Amino acid sequence: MSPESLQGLQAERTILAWRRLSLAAAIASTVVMRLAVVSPSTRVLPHVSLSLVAANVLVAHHQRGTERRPSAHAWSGHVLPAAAPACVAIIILVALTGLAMVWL
Amino acid sequence: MPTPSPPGSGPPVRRPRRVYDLGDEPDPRFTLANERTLLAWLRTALALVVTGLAVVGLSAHLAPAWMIEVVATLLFAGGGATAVYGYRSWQRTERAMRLGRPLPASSGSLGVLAVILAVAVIGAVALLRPVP
Repeated sequence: MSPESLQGLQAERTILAWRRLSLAAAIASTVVMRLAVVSPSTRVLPHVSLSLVAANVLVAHHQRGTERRPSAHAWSGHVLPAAAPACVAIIILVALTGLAMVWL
Repeated sequence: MPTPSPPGSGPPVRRPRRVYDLGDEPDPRFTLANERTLLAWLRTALALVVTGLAVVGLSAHLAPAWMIEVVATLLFAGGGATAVYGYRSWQRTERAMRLGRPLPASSGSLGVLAVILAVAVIGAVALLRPVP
């Protein structure tokens, strides 16, 4: 297998990993809504946050797909998108919301 | 064959600069593998936090209040810490690869293991306790 093909497979796996994270966030968001956690007002924030994670990840996934095209300087811009820090921040926000729901 | 950039467009700024301004470009395959590891940490963090939300949501049917509070706190704190650890670990690994240094040791799995074990033990106690 040529190095280019191997590299292509690695990028494909990374795109699929982004897609898995998006799917997980979308499912989590649905579960949070269905559970009716504590009260309607407090469940909105986790739902919105997790939806944002899903949207963020989709953007990153799209960016990765663009980078794979040879016309877009393939492999020259394998930059971790801004989506990753945003996902970290949103997960922390949801965790803090959860802690507030338990202790306040 | 690379396509020439449009006039006036320089190379894209890569962030975080404290990572990308260092050393030399590693093999893209390793960078992508590092990125997938970060995504795996984020999925773990998301799973912990959402499990915490589920525990809070189902608390009326599960166990005494103190158990719910302890389990939910463990899950939320563990989830937040896992997300931060995953991102910092990605930065450390990327820096090490760019500088040609040995990869840093990973200790985050022990923390996640501790949280899961604690939740499992408390869950078992909740299941086995006599129903009043």
